[in-house]
Amino acid sequence: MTQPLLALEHLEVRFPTSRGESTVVDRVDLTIGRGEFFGLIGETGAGKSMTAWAAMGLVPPPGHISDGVVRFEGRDLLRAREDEQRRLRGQEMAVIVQNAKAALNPMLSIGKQIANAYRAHHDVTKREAYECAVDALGSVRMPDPPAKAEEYPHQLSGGMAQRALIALAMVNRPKLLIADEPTTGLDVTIQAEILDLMSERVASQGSSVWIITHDLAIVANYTERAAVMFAGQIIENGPTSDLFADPRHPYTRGLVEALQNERARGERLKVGGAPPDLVDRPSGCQFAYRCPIAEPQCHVTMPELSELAQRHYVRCLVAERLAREQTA
Amino acid sequence: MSANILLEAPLPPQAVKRRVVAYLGFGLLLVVVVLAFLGPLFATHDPTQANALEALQPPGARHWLGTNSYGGDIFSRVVSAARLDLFIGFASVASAFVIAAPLGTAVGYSRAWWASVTMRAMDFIQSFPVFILAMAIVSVRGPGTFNVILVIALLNVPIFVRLIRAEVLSLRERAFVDAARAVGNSGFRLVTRHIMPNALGPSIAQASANIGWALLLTAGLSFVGAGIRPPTPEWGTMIAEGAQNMITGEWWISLFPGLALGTAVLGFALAGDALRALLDVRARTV
Repeated sequence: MTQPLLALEHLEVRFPTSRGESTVVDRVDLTIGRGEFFGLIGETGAGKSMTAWAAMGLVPPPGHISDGVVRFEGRDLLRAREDEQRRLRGQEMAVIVQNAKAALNPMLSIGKQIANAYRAHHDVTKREAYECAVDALGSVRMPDPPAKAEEYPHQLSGGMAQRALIALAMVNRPKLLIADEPTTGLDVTIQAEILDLMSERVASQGSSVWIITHDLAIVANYTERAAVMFAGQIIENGPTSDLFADPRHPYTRGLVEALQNERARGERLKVGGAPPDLVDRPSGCQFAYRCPIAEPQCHVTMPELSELAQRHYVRCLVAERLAREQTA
Repeated sequence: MSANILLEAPLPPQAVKRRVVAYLGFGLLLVVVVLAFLGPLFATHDPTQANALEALQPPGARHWLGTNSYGGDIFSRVVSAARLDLFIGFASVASAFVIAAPLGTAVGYSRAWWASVTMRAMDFIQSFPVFILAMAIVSVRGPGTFNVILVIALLNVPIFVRLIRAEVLSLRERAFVDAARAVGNSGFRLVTRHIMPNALGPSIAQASANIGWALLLTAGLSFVGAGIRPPTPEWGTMIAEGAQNMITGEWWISLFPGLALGTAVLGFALAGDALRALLDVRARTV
């Protein structure tokens, strides 16, 4: 297999709390290939965003990466020098956050902001950088780029701000674009435009996109491969088509069936409830206490990710047993 | 003035009131600033000239606002004093701001030990009663314009450092700072380009009110003899000059410099409020 663009190996992020360390990202293994559109799904607080920030080496203090390796094109990012890390951010990988308006500096026009980002990585004059910024705005199909470049964030609509942010992230032509809930708060037609724009970039520039969302429809429609996160752990990871056609983990099954139930009502697996305590984690499977098919053993033994079908990994004892029985 | 505003747009009454107050503040400020630049041109007499023959004259045709105990012309002294008082106010607040802007930003952004040490030093300065501290320092260093500026600047630094630090503390967690970091900006660029420009707005509004406060402090120090010495025209000194004459009925000696001081302080305070509203991009209420 060729070398992946980004590989997270046993990545662990902890935050100190008054009761002890909270493990918000728990031994996450992920790979993203070149030109791949990858999705990471999970409920609020599952550790999706923190995994992304950790991948960029930017865990906000007092949180810290307590274990694991981040490899970008084989290079160990976390142990690279600070200036090397900075070069990677922006030039090789960039991030689009949710709520684009808050992600733009209110004191700078968007043209200047994009130009600044370009100048952080290229030795060009302010004028040249600004021209690049206007081009970048054009490439995200911003209407009248030279005029929009002079506007300030508060003058833009949510959709326009999101386009500006994509232009900002893409101006240095990064190989990996991390999109953290890029369409939250946008209306559905604009959501589709923004997502189409991103998949277009993947196709035309050969970039990879890592999209983080709680919206299964987005993952189903746009990604090639996806992973499901629960309580800081990856619980299922596989090709998107398999994940939706044949979800193995009861949590994933609950999510997928909930999505289908929007069209056809019927019996469904209930996976409601609060996430587990991340400081004093339950023993065994983290999901067992909410799991409708949990067995006594699930509360004792922590399952590991195992490959139950080709490139389809699941962290569930019951699913493992069912898979064994099927083949036997 | 207010009639025009009412005619041109159907503003809610509160907004009209705020506008009138803002115009009043900037108007007073304009008068005081014009006096500071052109004051000596309006003076009818030499402000430092003593004239024993015309001492303690009430306001009249020859001396519009009367004369003091040694015959100095009050009107000339009041208008001439604006320059020195405003200079002290501006210079002290501006130097405090120049020191506090980088210091407050650094203290807000850094999580290192020296940031807390700096803040405890600010607490130390602020733990003294302001006027007592000012008097103590001036009495050690001696009176004079430079020392008054130094003391007032010192007292203003903690105010701005706190204000800027508080802004930076919230800015540093904002999404656009994360986003700027994620596109590869260095820490220095992050602070100078993205954090500091956004953190200074409230301090600029505060600066106006603080200049008013600096004027009061200057006058207070001069009043007790720790600031500007007579016969140099300075509002506080002049109020002190007339203090003992109040009982004997010569009210004009202290009253007019007092009014000038009050007007200037009010102007800066109102302008500060108006600036605060203007600089807040999200709520332009004036």
